[in-house]
Amino acid sequence: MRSPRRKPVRIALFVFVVLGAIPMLALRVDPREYHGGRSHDAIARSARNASSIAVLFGELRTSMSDILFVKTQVYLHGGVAYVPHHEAQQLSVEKMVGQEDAHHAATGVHAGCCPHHLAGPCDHDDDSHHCHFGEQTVIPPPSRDYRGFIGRLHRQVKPWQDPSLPHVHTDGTELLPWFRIMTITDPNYIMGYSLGSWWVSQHDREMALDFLAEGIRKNPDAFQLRMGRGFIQTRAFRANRDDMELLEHIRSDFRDAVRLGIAQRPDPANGPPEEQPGWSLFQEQDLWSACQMLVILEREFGDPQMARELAAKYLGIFPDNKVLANILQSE
Amino acid sequence: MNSRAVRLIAGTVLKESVRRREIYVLVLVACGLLAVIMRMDFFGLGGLTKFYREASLQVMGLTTAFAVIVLAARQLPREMENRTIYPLLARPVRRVEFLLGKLLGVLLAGIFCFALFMIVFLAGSWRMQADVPWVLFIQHIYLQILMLAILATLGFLLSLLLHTDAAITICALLFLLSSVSSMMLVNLYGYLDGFGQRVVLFLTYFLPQLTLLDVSEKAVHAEIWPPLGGAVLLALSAYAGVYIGIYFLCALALFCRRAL
Repeated sequence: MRSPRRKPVRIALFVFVVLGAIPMLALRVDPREYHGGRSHDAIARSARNASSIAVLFGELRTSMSDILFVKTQVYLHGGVAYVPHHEAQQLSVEKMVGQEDAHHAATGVHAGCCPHHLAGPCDHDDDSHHCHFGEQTVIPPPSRDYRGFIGRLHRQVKPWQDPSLPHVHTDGTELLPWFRIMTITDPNYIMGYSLGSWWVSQHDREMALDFLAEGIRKNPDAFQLRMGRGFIQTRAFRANRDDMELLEHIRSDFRDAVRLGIAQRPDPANGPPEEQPGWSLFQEQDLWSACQMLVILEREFGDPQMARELAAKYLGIFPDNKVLANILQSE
Repeated sequence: MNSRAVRLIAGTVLKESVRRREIYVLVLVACGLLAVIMRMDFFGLGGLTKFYREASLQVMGLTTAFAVIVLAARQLPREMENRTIYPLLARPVRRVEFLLGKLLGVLLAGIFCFALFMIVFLAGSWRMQADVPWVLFIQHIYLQILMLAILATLGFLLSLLLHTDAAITICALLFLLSSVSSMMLVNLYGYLDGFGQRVVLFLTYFLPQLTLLDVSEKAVHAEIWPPLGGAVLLALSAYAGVYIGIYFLCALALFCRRAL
């Protein structure tokens, strides 16, 4: 007769095995079999989600990676939870910084100095501590909190600060584990690779390039990753402007990024591309930046005539792009 | 109040839980998870301690809470099913002492579980050369024990009202969804009319907001956040004390009314 005392042990072991098996099974699912979550486009989702197993585990993976992305935002703000940027358009690297750094866009070569600025540059002296304000906190301020005593305690116990005050970004190094797990969980999470590689590049450029290479291998069509690699290598080039081989790699990356991006961009004849399925504002802005960089690199280190031709060509695609227009006028 | 009887019953519960293997299995599983976390290579960078600290605190909190919920919800039904409660109550032990002893025993078992984790966590921190924010860390443990006391008394109460499995499930859900439900109520409030808002307000105070007793986020980002002030700790203790008291008294009332 079995001892009833052993039963809970068996149940616990069973639960452990089952819990351990779920992520294992999820990781076995080919990422290209499933595209879900808010971070992927609707057309690809409906076209690819034929396998129920892929849907089941794929959804788990993409949802997890979205949650982990929000986690990085909390870490970046020293534990303070701001209302997450869940909308795909708000996940844009350009959008996050666009309001305060739009004026930097013309400085091209200096782009990529900041984690949220992959597609747009900034001029902060200190990478890790700069301030934004006005964003809404998850825990409401006293003026919007009906809970009284409980609300006051909540704001004391959890990391919280008045959203009207400038909030400080912490050193992003501690975010790296989350980016790594995010991309293991969902290898199609482009944002994880692009932002994660920027932070890694602060410590080890080669490691960052390896990380991006992994992302490109798993997402050969992701133009933002090639653009990210171009930006990271641009920083290396600034330190050694005689390295023509590196310059050629950089130009090649931006050329590939522009080619892939333009091929993927929906037809503007059907309406603004960023409002069409399968394309978002952040992709649009990143593509702008890739085009600008390619033109600037050509102007600075290549053939100025070719730069003008490229600027005119891309201005035909993005008629509202003031940076390209300025470049064309200044020549 | 016969404090000796309370201590004896508490000691029996603790010994029994330590002798059983559930706690060790839970601790082993959690240690396995922590070992995996410690071995993870993040771009060859060392000193990434926040991730380790957060994962450890979450695993510790989750595992200990589950151990306490299961232990508490099974105490009274098992005593009644096995009829071991009769010889106990035949002695000069009042029901309040019996229940207090059980609560103390369950809490001690939870603390024992926590202590095992602490050893593992501190060993891991030492190996990773990670700083331990001691004051926030001790405050976190203290608040977690208060939370365990709420869960234990609620477990007693629900186990007297419902089937053991249902009691465990409800307690586990309350614990797991505490943070989510708290923020959900906050967000819902703005969308409701007068009556709906009153319901949300009632739920906010009726349900224990267990998330208030979790200071792990500050402990993770301890280089930015100072420890909690004495007044806040006192307020949190009073807040938890109210729920512990209410649940305990309700459980006692039901237990006293039950014909054995």
